[in-house]
Amino acid sequence: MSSPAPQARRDRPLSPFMIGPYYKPQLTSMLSIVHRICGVALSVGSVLLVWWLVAIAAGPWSYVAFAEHAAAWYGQVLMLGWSWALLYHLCNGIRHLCWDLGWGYSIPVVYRTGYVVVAASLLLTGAAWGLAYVL
Amino acid sequence: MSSDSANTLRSPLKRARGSGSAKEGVNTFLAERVSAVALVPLTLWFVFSVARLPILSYGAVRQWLQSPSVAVALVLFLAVLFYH
Repeated sequence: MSSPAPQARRDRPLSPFMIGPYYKPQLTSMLSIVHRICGVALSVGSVLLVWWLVAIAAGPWSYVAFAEHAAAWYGQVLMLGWSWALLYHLCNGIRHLCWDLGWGYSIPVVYRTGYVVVAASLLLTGAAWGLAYVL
Repeated sequence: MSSDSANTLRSPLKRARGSGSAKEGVNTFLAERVSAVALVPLTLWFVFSVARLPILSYGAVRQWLQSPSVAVALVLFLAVLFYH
């Protein structure tokens, strides 16, 4: 068999990939992608968590070096992002566990739990940071 | 041909070679779910404990970690976190 002509190659239908102009962004797909991105970000962020613990173990001088970065604006932004990613992944993880148990597959329920997860993650993050700054 | 092979999409060669699933999928799946369930309380505890800490104070953080219950919970949190 000879290879197909360039014209025939062009006319073939494309399998639509999830990212691109083929699908309209929806809450369900976006939350799914964000869940995975948060998972990856949390893995990277856990290295910083280890840095914190090593700094404590190494003594007050190395802790000063850590605290300088933690108190800086980028340190605060990273911690805010990490805490939200952690709490979002937690809330959406519970949603995933419900799906694993066979609950919540109908479209209205999937959307409702999606909104609940977004709201709960924001509320929990706000509560944690409120606690951090009030106390 | 047995009735078994008539009802399957696997080719006889594949059956003879014994290829198929890696047979580790269920274990991986369960390990992820079990660690997820364990992480729910551990993560909430960690986030809200650290939020109440004066995180920039070495003395306060050190004192917090010296409590045996905190140390045990933190070790559990980290172990399950990295496993998950």
